[in-house]
Amino acid sequence: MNTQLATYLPLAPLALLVLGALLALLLVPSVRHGDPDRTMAWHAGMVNLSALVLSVTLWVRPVIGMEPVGATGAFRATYMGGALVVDSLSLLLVALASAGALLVLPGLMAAADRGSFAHGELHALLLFAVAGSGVVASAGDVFTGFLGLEIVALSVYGLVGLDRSRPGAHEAVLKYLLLGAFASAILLLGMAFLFGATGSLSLGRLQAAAVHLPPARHGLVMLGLAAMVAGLAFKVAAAPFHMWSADVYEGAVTPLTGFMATVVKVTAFVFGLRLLVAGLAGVGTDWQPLLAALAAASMVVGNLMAMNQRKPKRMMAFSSVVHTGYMLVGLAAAAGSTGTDAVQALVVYLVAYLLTNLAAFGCLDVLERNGGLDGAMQRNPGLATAFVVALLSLVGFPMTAGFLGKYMVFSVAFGAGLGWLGVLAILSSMVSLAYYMPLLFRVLSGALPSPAAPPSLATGERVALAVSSGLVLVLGAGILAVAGWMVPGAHWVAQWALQSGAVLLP
Amino acid sequence: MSHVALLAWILFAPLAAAALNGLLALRSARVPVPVEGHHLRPMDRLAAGIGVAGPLAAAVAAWSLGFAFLARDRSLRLTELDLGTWFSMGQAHVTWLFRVDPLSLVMVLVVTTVGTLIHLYSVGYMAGDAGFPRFLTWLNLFTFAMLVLVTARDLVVLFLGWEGVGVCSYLLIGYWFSDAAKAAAGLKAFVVNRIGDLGLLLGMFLLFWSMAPGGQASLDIDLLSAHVTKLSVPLATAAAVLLFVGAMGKSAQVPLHIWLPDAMAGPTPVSALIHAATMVTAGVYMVARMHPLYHHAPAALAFIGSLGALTALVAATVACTQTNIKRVIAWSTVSQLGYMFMGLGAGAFSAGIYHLFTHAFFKALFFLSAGAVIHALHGEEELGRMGGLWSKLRVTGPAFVLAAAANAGLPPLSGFVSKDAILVATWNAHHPVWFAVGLLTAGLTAFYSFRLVALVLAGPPRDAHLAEHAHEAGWAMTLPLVLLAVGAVGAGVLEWPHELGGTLWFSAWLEPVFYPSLDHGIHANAVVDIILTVGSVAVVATGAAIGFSLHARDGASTGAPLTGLQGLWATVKRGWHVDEVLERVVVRPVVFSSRAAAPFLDFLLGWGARGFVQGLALAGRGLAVAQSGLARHYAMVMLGGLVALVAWAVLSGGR
Amino acid sequence: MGETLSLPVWMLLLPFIAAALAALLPARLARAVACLAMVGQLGLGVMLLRTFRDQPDLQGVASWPMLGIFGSTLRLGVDGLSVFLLVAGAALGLLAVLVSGAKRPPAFHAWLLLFVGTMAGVLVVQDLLVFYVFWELMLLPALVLILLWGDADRRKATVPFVVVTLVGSLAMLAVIFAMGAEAHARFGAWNFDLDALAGVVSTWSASARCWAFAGLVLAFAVKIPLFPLHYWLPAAYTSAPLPAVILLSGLMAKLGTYGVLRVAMPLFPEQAVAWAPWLAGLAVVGILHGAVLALGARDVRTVLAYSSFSHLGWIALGIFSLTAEGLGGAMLQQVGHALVTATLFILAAWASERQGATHLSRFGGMAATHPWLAAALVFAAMASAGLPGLNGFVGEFLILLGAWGLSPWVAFAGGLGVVLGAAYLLWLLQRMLYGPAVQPAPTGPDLGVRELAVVLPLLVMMVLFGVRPGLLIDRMKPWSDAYVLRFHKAVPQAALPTGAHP
Repeated sequence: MNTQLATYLPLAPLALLVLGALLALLLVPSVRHGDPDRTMAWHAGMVNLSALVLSVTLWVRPVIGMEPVGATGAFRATYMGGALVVDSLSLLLVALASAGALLVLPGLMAAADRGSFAHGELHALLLFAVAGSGVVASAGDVFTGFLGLEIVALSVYGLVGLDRSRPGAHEAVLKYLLLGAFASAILLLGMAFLFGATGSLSLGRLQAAAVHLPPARHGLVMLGLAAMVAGLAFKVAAAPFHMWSADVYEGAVTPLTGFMATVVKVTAFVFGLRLLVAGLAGVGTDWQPLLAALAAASMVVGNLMAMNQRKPKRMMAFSSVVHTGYMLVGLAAAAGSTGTDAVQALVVYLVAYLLTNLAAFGCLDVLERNGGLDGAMQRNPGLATAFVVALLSLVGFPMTAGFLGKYMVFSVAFGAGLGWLGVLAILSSMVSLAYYMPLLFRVLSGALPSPAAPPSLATGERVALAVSSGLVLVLGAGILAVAGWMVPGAHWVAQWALQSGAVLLP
Repeated sequence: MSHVALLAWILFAPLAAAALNGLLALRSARVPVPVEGHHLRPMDRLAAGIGVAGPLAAAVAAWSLGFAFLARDRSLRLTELDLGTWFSMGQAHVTWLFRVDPLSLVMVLVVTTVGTLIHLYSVGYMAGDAGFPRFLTWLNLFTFAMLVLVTARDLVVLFLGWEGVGVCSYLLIGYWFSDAAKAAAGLKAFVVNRIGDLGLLLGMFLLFWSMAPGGQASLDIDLLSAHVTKLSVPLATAAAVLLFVGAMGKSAQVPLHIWLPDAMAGPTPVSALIHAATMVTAGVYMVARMHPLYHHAPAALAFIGSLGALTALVAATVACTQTNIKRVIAWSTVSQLGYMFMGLGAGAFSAGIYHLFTHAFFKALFFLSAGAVIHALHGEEELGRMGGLWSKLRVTGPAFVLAAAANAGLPPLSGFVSKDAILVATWNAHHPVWFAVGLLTAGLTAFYSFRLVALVLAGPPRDAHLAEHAHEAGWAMTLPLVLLAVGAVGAGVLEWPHELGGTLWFSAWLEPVFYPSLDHGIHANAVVDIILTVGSVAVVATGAAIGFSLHARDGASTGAPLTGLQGLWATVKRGWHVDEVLERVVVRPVVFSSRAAAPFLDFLLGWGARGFVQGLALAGRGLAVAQSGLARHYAMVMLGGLVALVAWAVLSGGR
Repeated sequence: MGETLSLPVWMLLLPFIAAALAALLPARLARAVACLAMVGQLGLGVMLLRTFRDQPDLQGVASWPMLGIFGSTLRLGVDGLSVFLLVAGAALGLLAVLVSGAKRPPAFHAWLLLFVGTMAGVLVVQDLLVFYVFWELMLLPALVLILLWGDADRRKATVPFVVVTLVGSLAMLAVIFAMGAEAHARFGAWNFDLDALAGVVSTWSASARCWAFAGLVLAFAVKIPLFPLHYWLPAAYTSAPLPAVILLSGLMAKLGTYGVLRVAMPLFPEQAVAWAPWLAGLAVVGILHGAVLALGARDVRTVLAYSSFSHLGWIALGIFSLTAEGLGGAMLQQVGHALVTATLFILAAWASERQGATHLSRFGGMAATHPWLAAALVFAAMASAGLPGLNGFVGEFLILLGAWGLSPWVAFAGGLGVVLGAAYLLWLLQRMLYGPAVQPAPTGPDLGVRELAVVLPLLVMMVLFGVRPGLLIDRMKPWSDAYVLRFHKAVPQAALPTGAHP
């Protein structure tokens, strides 16, 4: 094929996702013969899988049109006058989003079988959500990012409300929708301020404008920034913008909760990175305290709330608020420091968090279907082991992904002069034991509910859980990544994260 | 055989015996052979042979070493056995160094000689007991530990023997462990001794660190003795007193004497060997061994003497009131130990050691003959059921009387000589109070000794049936009685006073040891000495006469001789309630804290930890108010957050 | 800088490999695998001791460059402090497998091996971050062994254990981050090597170093445990299965004191000196508190658990006395107590099996029915009570001697532990062995050949180390002397206790 066309190759994953989503819409009504559910599942699966494969391949060997950035092997390709960007970070997010979709797919299908809703819409909406985060991933422009975020949000609203039989689903959708609209409004407001101040919404130019900005306009930028941070805080469920999460998480079917807690949150964080680190690097240090405050609030509130939850799912909701706090620590550090360390740390944390929570929610879903947590270790060891791994990772126990992420984020926090935040983060890890440990104990030594029935779970679910918890361990082994017996997975993630940092910094 | 080899024999013959008997004991414990009557099972015969041979070999070696010393010049009477380093860390360097000098040799001779006789005796006494080999194992092991104690040149090695004898004593008191009370008596003995041992340890530490700045930190007795004068007197006094606390435990001085009477729960040979002749005198030996330190700390000596005097008097009074034959002798032992310390306190180290020496013989004799009586009465120990045995026990009876007389200090028996030496010493050292107490004690001693004789042997039997079946024991038991009787009578010759035409061989033998600490200032006045001697003899004689006559007549009770004394009698009989007081002041608080206070403290700790978590959870519930589930509330909170952020932006925006 | 694979490294890897094998191979092989592995571990340990030069330096050093974000180089090796603990760990591991019983599932043995392996890791790594990793990992096998194979009230037992331990180690983590960041700021690269950090933190402000020292000590004090942090111990020790208890009280507790010596004190010598009297005071309180509790306890395992707590107080006291004597005594006691406590727990467990109970009110008269078991128990108890000639004494003597160097009052108070120790141990024997035989009478035979084969070597070693402690202490001396000396170089003489002058 000719080089002109080849330069658009980097856009392939994104294009694939969008087209796949649209195709799904067409398929839903048209497939009649055979087993439509099956067909849709295959479609969704193949689209996500190929998107994942494509993005990884592109990362491994960049094609024409991706100019290297810096010495880390990072690269960038821009389209449509900078409105679309494909670089290491965007490829990573696409990979994460499609991987996340793949990992929750089996659980969602099982839920659909139990619930009273067709598979078709499910797959279509899921694909749109992933496509939306793909758009966010390659947003070279604040508006593109907003567009992507809204696509994600709308499809998730749909997904939450899909199961009409489920009590509380409607309530969840309503809250999510109302508050989400509120948040989007704030986000738009912020964008307006920014545009007013700089006359542009392109991240590249924002940066340039922000660096030498007339002092008069500085206040306006800060105002816009504050609003946008508030809007993003809602998307990532950071205190005090987290209130919706518990109810919505509870209202949604558990696999979907997993998807919201991971892919959606990570997507929003990537946008945050693009906006704050790349876009507004010039006024960087000014807004560090803002994020630090949000991080502190999220850790404190999340912990205090999580301690009082009886239902594991609500507990997990608040615990993910706490983890948002940790990620905000990383973001704040990234804002402070000029090196790539902080961004790398945050990105590694995002990956670790995604895998861990996918495993945790997945296990929670299956275990609750199979006689609850108590004594699971005796009943079905494999499942229980996976859950234990996930819990340990949430605690931040060594040799798990959680420790790797925490280690890197906390250490950059100390490095960036945010020692107090680091100490607070460690204190919050201590407190978090109070609600993770009981689950661990219940799984390991709970009273056996009789009779101990064999677990009912689909092969797909087995695979998904095995993969996610296995990757948690592989990533965790990164701490042993001493030259000689390198642990590849961790190394690659670290490398990819490093490059993601490189593309953001001028 | 070289002297060093002899010393090695002295030490390790008993150890080897203990090891061999230990194997036998384990074997026989596992495959019990039924015993019928007072007969030795085949394995018991073997055990008996080994058990007696061990100490006997040591005794032979000791005596030959003794004669070898006699042949030598006084300054050369010394043998050392060096078995290399025990441990070395920092400045603490301890070596397995054993040494025999005249003082040690006296102790060695006592331990091995009296020990051998008692081993022999116990073969007869314990015959037919199921755990016979075990008994001899502990006895041999004790002999070894005691020999280590008296030959050690390093205080830490001495401490090894010190605790070793303590353990053996514990095991032997509780030998009949199926009787919980007996086992408990052993426990009490060990723990009370541990209190004393702590004092001994602390004394060592104080000496060690007070020598450290001079770079002479060491626990080698000879080095310490050489450097002790460098210590300030207060330091020396403190160290001396701390060491003496150890002696108080081991040698049963008030208030740590409470374990000794209970220790009578052990078999009688044990009481004779450990709780009369040897172990309990270890404290006396240790103080004498450290004489340069004590000589350098007069205050400490005064303390020792006073406490000794007090113990002597108190224990003597209690002995007068006991109704158990062994307990009388036990209390008398406590009293005699007090006597010895009184002598040491007066600076008369050799006199103290000499009393230790004679006491070993006559008190062992006393116990063994008492044991023979008990044996004859099939285990009966209560005086209330004895009496009228003189005609029955042809050997034991005279031995018992001799022992009592020697204990009372009637001339010309050994007890008279040694006791008199101490009395004279206290007078010459200008301690009239001690002298008076000593005199009074001597009277009381004579009283209870002959009270005992009267109640056991004289008069008509209080229990006709028992007396009917009373019988003399076999040669294994009577032979030791005879030999010990010879010692109890003849030992006096070694220190027969000048005034009565004797020579002080014993103190001459010890002089090279004690030379630096001898009070060369005091010149005994012969006339005074004779007056004192006559006086003391008179007191003893009257005491003996009263004690005998009061209890020899028909129907004499074991209770108070005079009706007016009942109340006091009861108090004294309970050992002046020292036990009860200590129980209230020490034991109960510890038990209380172990059962209630300490667990409660832990409960609080756990509760506090949980409370912290609960507190956080409570704060969380406070927050949860906002989590009402109503979208408008959530929106309000979000709005609040937005306002806060914007406000911050505006405020910081200007900059 | 050192080859990549040395004896210590093999001793670190072997248990993990064996654990994997035990988990994967057919079930009936698991115990054999575990047994072989521990024999091999012990063999490696003996080889290590033979090749070990009596020098203060680090030996058998292996090192790798690390991924930049995790520090510079990972050094492994052993020195006079760790080598004996490493070998003791192997011995205890073998012991644990031997007494674990044939009916245990493969997973049990796998976890046992993991426990041994993680503790070996703590002992050999010289990089604080990796040290922390193993330190945390160590908790997991302990937790699982108790939770899956412990007795009825294991849940209640493990909660405080895990939570307190994790809280402590997170405090350590904070300090590690702070130090790493300092190193990063200094060298421009992450570095957690202990020697490197020692240089880094010396420039901190006094208050910063104080906080850091506190954080580290907290983490280690939980494991020892030091006085107020001990309340997790009795429950954990009593509800854990015997093999786990052997490793818990035998080695894991010592890793607390090891951490103090290896990490906390070398990094912050001034703080160590300033705090030593207080920490020694806490140790003494622990000695007495533990002894008193042991006196009042009514369950065999509880008595032994509190006794272990009390004895660890001795070790801490020796360390904080800051004298050569105290330190040497503590190092000796670290090994000696491992031997004694393991023996006691094993014998007590066997006695309980035969009696069918652990509550002391159900015991009595065992000396008559099971004479050999009784004899072994008395022997071990005497060793534990610090009887001269057995291995408990020399350590305790040196520790108290050093304590007097710190302060006579501390020595006196600690010395009361000698009395109480005798009291509770003899009181334990009294209730288990003596008195009339109880009903129901203990059943089962006396010690059998296999049980003797397990316990007899331990008793022999007690005598051996009691009479010739030089076998251990002479090889520790070069290290401890150098340690004390370095310590005295690091801080002004004036600050040190009277006895501590070299």
